[in-house]
Amino acid sequence: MNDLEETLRRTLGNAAEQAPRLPGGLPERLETGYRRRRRRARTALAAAAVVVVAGGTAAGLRVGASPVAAPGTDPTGVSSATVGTEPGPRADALPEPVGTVWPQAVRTVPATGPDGRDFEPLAFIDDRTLLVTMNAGFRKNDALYAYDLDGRTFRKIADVPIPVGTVISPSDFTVGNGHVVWWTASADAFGQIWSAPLAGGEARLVADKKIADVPDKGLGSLAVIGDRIAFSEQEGGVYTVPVQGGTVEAVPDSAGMHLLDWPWIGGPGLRVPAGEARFGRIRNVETGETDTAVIRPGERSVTCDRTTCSGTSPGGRGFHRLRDGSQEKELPGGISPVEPPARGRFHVVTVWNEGSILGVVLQDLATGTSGGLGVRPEGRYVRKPRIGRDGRLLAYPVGDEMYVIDLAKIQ
Amino acid sequence: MEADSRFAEFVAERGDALLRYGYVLAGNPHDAADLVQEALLKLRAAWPRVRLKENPESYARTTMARLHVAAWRLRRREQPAWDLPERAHHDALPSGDEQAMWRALAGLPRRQRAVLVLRYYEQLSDAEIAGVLGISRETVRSQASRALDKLRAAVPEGNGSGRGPRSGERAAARTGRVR
Repeated sequence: MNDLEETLRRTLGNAAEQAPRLPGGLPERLETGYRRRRRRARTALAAAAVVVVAGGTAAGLRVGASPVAAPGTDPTGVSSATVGTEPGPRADALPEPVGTVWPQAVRTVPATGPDGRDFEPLAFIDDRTLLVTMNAGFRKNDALYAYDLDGRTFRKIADVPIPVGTVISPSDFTVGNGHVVWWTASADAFGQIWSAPLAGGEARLVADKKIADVPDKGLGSLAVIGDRIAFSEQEGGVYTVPVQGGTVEAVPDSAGMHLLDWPWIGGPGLRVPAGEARFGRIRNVETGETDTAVIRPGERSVTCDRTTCSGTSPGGRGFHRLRDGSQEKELPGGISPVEPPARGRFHVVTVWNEGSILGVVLQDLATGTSGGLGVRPEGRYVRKPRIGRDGRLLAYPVGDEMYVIDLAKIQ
Repeated sequence: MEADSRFAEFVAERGDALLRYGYVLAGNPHDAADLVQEALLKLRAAWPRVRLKENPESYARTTMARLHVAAWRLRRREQPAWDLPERAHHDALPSGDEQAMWRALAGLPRRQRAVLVLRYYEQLSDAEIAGVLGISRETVRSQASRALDKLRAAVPEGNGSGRGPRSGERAAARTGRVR
C-alpha cells in the first residue's frame, strides 16, 4: 500500500468514527416505516403480498374441521363472540391444495427469471402470457416483461422510467387494447400517466396533471377504454386522456367521484362516512343510469363493486351480497375483505388454529369450495397473496416455484 | 414475534457500524442516515429469507453500496425516521492530509467512491467488490485506478495541514442533501 492509499485508509477509518450514533428506539421506528411502506404497497400495487399479524381484534368464526366449511355454515354452533379474537376462520386442517382442487386453473413455473432475478406477475395479457415486473439491477429502473407461461420465456416490453422528483413509484400497471399503462406522482403535486406498447418499445409520458397537494396521494383506477385511458385522482375526479397523449378531459359531473369499472364511476372513495358504503353510489357515464347500494343500520366497512357489496354485519360477521341487498351470504373469513371478492366470488383468507396461522386459502363463494395456497407461515406472519387488479390473476412464490392461478378458468 | 425481536436485536447491535459505513460511503450524516434507513427497511422486508439464507449484515452493506451508487435518492419516498445534527463532523478529523483527502473524496463520482470505500474501508478484494456492485473486476480496477489518480492530483504528497476546517464544510455543502 503506497502513501496515498495509506492516507485514504486512515482517512476513511477516522471519518467513520465521526459518524453520529443511531438514535434509540430505531427498531420501533423502522417497524413503523416498514408497515407504512407495506400499506402503501398494498394500495399501490395490486399483486403485492400482505403481511397478516396474529392477534387482530376482529371476531373470529369457527368453521370446524377440514375442509373450510361452506359459506353460511357454522358446524359448531358457537357464536363468534365466544370463539376468540383471531381475524380469520379457524380450521383443524387446511383444504386440499389449489392444484388438486382446480387443476385446470393452476400452474407452477420457476420463481426466478434470467440471472436469478425476482419477478412479480401483475396481470394476464392473454391466456398464456403474464405482464411481470423485474428488477433490472440496482443501477437501473425496473422493467416490464411479457412472460410466456408455456415457453417460460421473458420478452422485454419497456423500461419503467422514474423521473427526478418522483415520490410515488410506478403503480397500478393496467393492460388494455395493446398497451400497458401506469401512473407515478411527483413531489410538486403532479400525477403522471405512462403508456408502453405491449409489443415492446419506449414508455411514453401520456399526461402530467396537477393533483391535490396531499401527501402520498396520486392517481388510480386506470383503465384503457378504446384509444383513451380513463383514470381517477385519489382525492376525487375522473378523467380521460388519449393513449397517444393529448389533453386530459374531466368526465362531466365527476367531481369527488372515482372510476369503478368503466363506464361506471362512483363514490365515496377512500374516506367513507359512517352509514355509507365505498362505491355505494355509482353512475354509468354513458347512459346516465345510477344505482345506490342497500346498507342496513349498524353495518360497517361496506365496500361495493359494480354488482356486489361486502362488509361486516352489526354482529361482527362478514357478509357478501348483491347491491340491492339480496342473496346475502356469510363471508367465511369472519371479517370483510378490503375489496369485494374478485369476479364476485373469489376471496383469499388466512386460516387459524389455536392462535397460530395454518395457512392461506382461496375460497370460491359461488360453490363453497376452498383450496390451500401452499404459502408457508413464518411464525406470526404469513404472506397473503392478493388477486391482481385484473380480477383474474392470483400469483405468488412458494420456495423456488411461482404459483399462477387463472381465476377465469374456475367455472 | 421471533422475526421482530431478532431484527430489532440486529439493528441494536449493528446499527452504529452500518451508520459508520454509510457515513464514509455518502460523505455526510444525512445521506448516511438515509442509506442506513433504506437498507434496514429493505432488510426488514426480506428478513425471514435473509436470516435463513444469507448474512443480514452483508445484505445490508451490499444494499447500501448499491443504493449509494444508484443515486437512489431519486426514488426515495420517505423522510428519514430520525434527525441528525447539522454540523460538519469531519471537521474533527485529526490531521490536515485527512481533511484534504476527505474533501477530495467528495469530488469523486459515486461509483468510484464506493469502490474505494469497499477496498480501503471494508477491505474487500476486487473480486468481492465486483460482486457487491454487480460490475466486472476490470471495471473495479479501472474505477479504482481513476479514483486514485484524482485523489493523487487533489492531495499532493506533503500537503499537510494547509486548508483548515473550512474545506470540510465546503465538501459538506457540495454533497449535502437538497431539500
